[in-house]
Amino acid sequence: MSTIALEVQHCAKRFRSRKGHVQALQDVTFQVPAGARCGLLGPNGAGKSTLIRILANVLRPDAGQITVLGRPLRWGQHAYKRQVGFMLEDLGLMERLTGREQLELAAQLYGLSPDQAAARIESLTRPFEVATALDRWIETYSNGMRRQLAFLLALLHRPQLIVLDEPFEAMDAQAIETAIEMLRARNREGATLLISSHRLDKLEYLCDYLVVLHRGRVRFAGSIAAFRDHLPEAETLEAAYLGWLRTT
Amino acid sequence: MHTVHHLLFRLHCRYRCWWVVFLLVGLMALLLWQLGRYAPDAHDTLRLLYAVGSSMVLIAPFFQWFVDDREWLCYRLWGLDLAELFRRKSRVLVHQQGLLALAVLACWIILHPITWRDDLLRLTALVLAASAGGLVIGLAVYPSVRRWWPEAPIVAAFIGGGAQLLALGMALLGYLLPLLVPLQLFALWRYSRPLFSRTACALDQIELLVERP
Repeated sequence: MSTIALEVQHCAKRFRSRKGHVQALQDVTFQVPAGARCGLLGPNGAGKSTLIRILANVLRPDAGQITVLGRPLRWGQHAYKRQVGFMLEDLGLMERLTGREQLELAAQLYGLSPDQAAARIESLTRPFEVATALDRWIETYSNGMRRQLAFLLALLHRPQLIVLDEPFEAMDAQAIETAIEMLRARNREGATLLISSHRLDKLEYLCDYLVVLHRGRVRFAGSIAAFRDHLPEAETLEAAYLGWLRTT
Repeated sequence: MHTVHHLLFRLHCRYRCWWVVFLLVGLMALLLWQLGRYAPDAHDTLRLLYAVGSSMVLIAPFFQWFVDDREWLCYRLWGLDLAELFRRKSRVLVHQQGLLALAVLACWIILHPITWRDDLLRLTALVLAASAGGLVIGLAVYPSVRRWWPEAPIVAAFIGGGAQLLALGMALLGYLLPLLVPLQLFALWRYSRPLFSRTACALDQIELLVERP
């Protein structure tokens, strides 16, 4: 198995509109080692969600190469997602199904047997509040419940690489704690994590590696300890990040 | 645990007030039957009206069949083979349209106990030809429509529905004999197999820009 779970080289993406264009990503290059717990950090508009959509082959990059779990990512090919779990900002939920139905549909389309699927759905959902609403239509869910369901969908097939965009947004404290413990457990089993979040306290607790994006470029990629060396007097990652932003 | 077919069937049936459709077909059949009692000479015309009117309901399932961007995003995130998905979904559509067709035929048989044997073959052939043609034509144009129109599922449904009505019209006017229907169905089935793969391949090349919830 490759020692690099994810490699992004010279990735660029520009959005065009009638009023001009926006360079969302520019020459983005970084690596995430296999088994790492990597946080993806950056202010609003830094390009985090765009990068994750490109990793999910939802958007096509204008330039660059991406390697996922040792295989080059090709536009239009999606089979690699059998080993990668994605949670995008857009969530990807079917409003006209119940939570249980969507989990069952995903599990069966992932190729799990009915028994496997039922057992996994039961064990994954049990600690979450959404377990009490699994037989309700998704359109009746609160934002937090939608996030919980999308999070569980990303973990359902036990992927080797888990890529999450703002997973903790709108979740309550208990759900966040459960989600973090679940992610740590998956990481102990060998899964690599790439998590974009503005909850720096949670990232500091969960992650050991950091990629910082700013205005579409990678400004830092390395361990959290190395990032904090920029501002040794900062007591938390959040303080170090805010200090770093002021100097950028 | 529900099967994939069952779950896709539910996904495409929700919000759709099926009982209204069945009620409309029933009322139409009843009305035409009443008219037929007062004007026995117009039986053929009324039969034509019923065939056209009742087959309109077969278009209804199209409007939820073509994947919208939100549903498509799910399949893309799950790394699903879209060609396989279209095969599964086409079976769901046949299931839905089959139920509607049965209702259409049942209404006719109940209200026309004397002539139903003469009409059954023709009506069945019409229904089969119309529904199969609509699916294939709609799916064939879907990637091109999606490339240019965000409301692609609705547009493709109208095109598929239009093709269905065209097939129906041809059949009613006698250009398409009921005996030719099995041949048409076989041709459509043969064409649909590579069509699913080609459509899936074309759709996989399209960027998805789903609005934020």
